[in-house]
Amino acid sequence: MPLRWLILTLLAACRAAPIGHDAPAARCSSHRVGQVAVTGAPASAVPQLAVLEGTIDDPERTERVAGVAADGLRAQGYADASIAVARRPGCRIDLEVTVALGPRYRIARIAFDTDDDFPEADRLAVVEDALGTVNAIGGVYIEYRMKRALVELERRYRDAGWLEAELGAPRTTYDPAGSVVVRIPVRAGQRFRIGSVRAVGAGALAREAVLQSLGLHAGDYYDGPRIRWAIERARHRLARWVELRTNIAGDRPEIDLEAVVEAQR
Amino acid sequence: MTPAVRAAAAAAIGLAACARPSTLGAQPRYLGAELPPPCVAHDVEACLGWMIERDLADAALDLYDDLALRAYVQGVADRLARGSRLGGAPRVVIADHDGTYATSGSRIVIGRPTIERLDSEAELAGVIAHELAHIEGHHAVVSLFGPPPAGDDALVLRRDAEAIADERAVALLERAGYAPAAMSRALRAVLDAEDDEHPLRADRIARAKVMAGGLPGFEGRAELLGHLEHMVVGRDARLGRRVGDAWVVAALGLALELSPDDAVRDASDVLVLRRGQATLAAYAIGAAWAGELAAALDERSEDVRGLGRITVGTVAAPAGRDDTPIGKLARAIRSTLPQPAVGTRVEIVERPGGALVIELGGRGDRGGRGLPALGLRAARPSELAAAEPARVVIEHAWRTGAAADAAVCDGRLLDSPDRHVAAGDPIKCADRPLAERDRAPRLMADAAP
Repeated sequence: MPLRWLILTLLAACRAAPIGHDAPAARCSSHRVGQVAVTGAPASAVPQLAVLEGTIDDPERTERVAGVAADGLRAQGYADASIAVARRPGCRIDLEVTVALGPRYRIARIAFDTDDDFPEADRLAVVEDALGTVNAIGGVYIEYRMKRALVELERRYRDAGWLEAELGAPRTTYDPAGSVVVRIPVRAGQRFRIGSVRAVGAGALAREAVLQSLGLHAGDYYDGPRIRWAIERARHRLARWVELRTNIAGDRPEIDLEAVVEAQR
Repeated sequence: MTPAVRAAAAAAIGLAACARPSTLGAQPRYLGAELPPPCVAHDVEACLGWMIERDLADAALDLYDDLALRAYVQGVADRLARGSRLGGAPRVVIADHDGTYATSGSRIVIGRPTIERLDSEAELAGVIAHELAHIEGHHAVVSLFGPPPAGDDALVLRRDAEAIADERAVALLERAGYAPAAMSRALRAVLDAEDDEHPLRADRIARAKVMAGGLPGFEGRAELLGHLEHMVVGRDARLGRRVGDAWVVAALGLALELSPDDAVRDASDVLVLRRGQATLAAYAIGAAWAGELAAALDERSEDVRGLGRITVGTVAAPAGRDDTPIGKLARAIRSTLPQPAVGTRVEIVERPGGALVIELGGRGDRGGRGLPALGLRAARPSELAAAEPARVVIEHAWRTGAAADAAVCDGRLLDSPDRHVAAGDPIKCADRPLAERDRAPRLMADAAP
């Protein structure tokens, strides 16, 4: 009977153990972090701190990690979140993490203070981020990502002919009920058109062919992407190097285009 | 795109954001596949993880497709994950480029050349545990959504994350019953360069060694080596190798004949040559990605010949800027895929295993608009055989001593020559001597967690 018991016990141990050795019990050490206990939020809300379990105890680093974790919570919409970490010596150094989340803010409205013709949907699309979860209606507001997006939006304005467009810093209004309204001042200025299109260099036939291929006309609104593509197309259709010079007219909201055509080698 | 660039690109995806779904029909698609639920349900992390894996497999042809090895490595990750705070183990994929990194969407990409350098299952576990710790700590996600890292502060935080991942890896090894000392050996094996984002190599190794102490645990050298038998060693030349007077892409069964007048430069998997006034660059890509590139060509002509469908055209600028959230996500990932620049004249030869892209620069032989005669043909059996990569074979020491003196696999040794082995111990060898050009280019491990 004792032998049978021993065999059964061994078999059970074999099934339970991972390949090789059993996991050893954590060794006591005053240099390593033991348990990380989180109150005020689930531990999964502060994974940056939770993962410190078993690492080397470094109070300064823990403070920095707590800062990163708090920023992570703010990036999830907990704009007022704060985290405090206390160290408790035991077998190892246990960390007690206290999280104060505060309300979770969602964007109720993003307003561009302007009456220009830049498509409203495009404006919102440029600032919207991360599959619509950041800087979008119903999403969370992250200021640095909004500022980064506004740099891109200003570039889009200029590329679409609003050469003097300026976008101001976003202004936010937080409602303690959990919503935030974002306002973005826009000074678009005048929208520039193409003043003239001409070709120089090479022979007359080549110049004419380039102009035909470009398909750009005086009076059209300046459209950066369309112009760049027209140049690429002309280069490849005609197998010639074509360079475009732009000249902003000083006395009217127009841009003159000059295609410099390389002579046939 | 070189393996190094691919690794860096994939790494960048893990930290940055964003892919290009083609819209075929009502359902948005990415590289020929329907978007999975996370992409539709605004789960950006999971969606990114799916896209990254699809890129490796179907766009860059950069996945090492060995199901048994992947299952083994996944088993190691599963075992480690049980001691972590993760609900489930991350999905592990094996890439053909060097380096290891965690991506958004709970995925770990480990390079085959990295595995090649490891000596035991415990060391493999150490490399995986480091990445698992990054996933546990949401380190990549912090970069995605956290505050803008700026200057020195950002570097301090990056180095913190790396040090924490090393230390946590030791703890995960302990919990899983692996020998924690394997962590320092794994770091020594896979790190060979310094950068600003990681603590110094020597410090990382020393710290891991001190943490491990003398705690015993499972090593599993025979287990690892048993799973490495037949694994490709070094650069997998099936994506492109010069064989005699031809550039052979064995993965596609194609050969491009080279003439004595061609100025040839073969950089990794890309052939670049000057032929007359034309400059050609040729490289293999996945079938789904090739289909998307071909469909978007301007001035396109298509012909089905013996080699497959051949599409010739000029790479067009995107017709419109897709500013939908999924479109933005797609655009960033698309930018990392191997592809010709807008305006480039290309020929795309679609084959069952992928496609060959041939970019034409300079002037062709038809007034600059066409491609010169390429000399493209099916590869001969002898060429395919010559392009076969070296593989791992396990031999056994017949005497005790240093691996180099154990008198096996002379000139083909993959283990450290100084490694002490007992008679009968398995030794990792290549099945043929490795030329320098066939050795995998080394990258910093942990290219981007």
